[in-house]
Amino acid sequence: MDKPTQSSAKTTPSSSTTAEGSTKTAQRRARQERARAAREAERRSARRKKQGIIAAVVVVVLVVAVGIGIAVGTSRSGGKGPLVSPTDAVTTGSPIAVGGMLVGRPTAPVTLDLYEDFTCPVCGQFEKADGATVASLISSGRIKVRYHMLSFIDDKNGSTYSHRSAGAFAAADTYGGADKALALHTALYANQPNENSSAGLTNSKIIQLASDAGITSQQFVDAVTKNSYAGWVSQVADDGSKAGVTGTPTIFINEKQVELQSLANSQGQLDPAKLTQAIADAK
Amino acid sequence: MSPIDQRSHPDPARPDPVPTRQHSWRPWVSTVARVALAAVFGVASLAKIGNTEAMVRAVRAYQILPESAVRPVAYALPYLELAVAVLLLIGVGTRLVAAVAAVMLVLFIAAVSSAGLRGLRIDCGCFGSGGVVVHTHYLQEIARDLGFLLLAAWLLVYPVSRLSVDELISEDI
Repeated sequence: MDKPTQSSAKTTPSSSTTAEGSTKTAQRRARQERARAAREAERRSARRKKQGIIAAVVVVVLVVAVGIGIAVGTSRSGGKGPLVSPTDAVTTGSPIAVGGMLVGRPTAPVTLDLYEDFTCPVCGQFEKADGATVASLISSGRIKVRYHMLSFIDDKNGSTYSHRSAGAFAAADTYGGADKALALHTALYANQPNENSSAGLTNSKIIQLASDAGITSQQFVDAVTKNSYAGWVSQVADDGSKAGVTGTPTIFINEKQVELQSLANSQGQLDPAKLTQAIADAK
Repeated sequence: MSPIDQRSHPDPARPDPVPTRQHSWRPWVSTVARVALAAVFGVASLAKIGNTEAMVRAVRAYQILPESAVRPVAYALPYLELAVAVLLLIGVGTRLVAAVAAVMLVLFIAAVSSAGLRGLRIDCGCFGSGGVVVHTHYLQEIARDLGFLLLAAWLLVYPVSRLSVDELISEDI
């Protein structure tokens, strides 16, 4: 503070001769000091004002970004078109049940909820090891299965196959019935594409596999080529996440989650006898 | 003398927040921190912005927010991250934006930690791990976010950086 500024340093030598001069100098210095302080205050206030404007701009940008995000997301989720569900869609009940596609007699004493993705390799292993057992327990009336075909692997490998195959499975139920849909389910896993490839099976390959399973109607072909069940497939994915399912395969027996490891033998191989036992033990 | 040095305060008892010459490297470190943090937020945003439904499922999987808040948060978050990235990249209101980034990172770390502590398995189990045994990467994720938080903290303390809009508009003060 007491260091002379450039201007006051200039005036000091000429005003040091008389007392009158020194008073004048003191007054002048005080004036200069006040002016300097005023300029300084003005500068600080200008700086504060500028910082206030910058902060306001930042806040506005962030708020606008949030607004755009919510607007875009809301418009996207509303724009799926009419929801077409398969004949055996489960739309009421517990969060685990909703979004399933029922295969089997509704009166069967034990219910399995299977959350799968047609691209998921472990689901393929489960199908290969336990698929026949599941199918025979369904046809004997001991179990019914609610299939929830998720499609999140498309997000990882950039494919559309998980969505298309899940849609075809739903269409197969509507146009061929649950039993033929289950046959298509088996065939799709028998021809499972590599999970790291974005190619997947073509629609015509899916249609051919369905035809081999006895689904030959033109409506089914149209539903697959037009991807008519896309809305249902997103609905199933959303319902699955609401049920807390974050991976596939996820298995529930009578709505109680069963770890895949508990269905494997001591060598780590899936053992159908373990699944049969778990179903027999289900309350 | 650089323009920044010419702006230095005439009163030595009130040093200007603008760095003096002995710290001339500091604004450049802040520039690097700013651009790096912008890249982190930009990449995080662009990875999510195209897939709204996957983002909704990801937010829901943490089981923290009530269902009514899941969609708004999932919709807004990638855009908020993008805005933070752009503001950091051009260097506007760096201290305030760094504070916003730091708050977001602290929330992310809290969310991941809480998911880890509750034993949630937020992982598809389909890639890499072979599926049956699900690997979760909570510790790596937290360590990574802590690193990003350090960048934000540096900018909170040293917001003045070269090649920024902040620098441009403070010239005429």
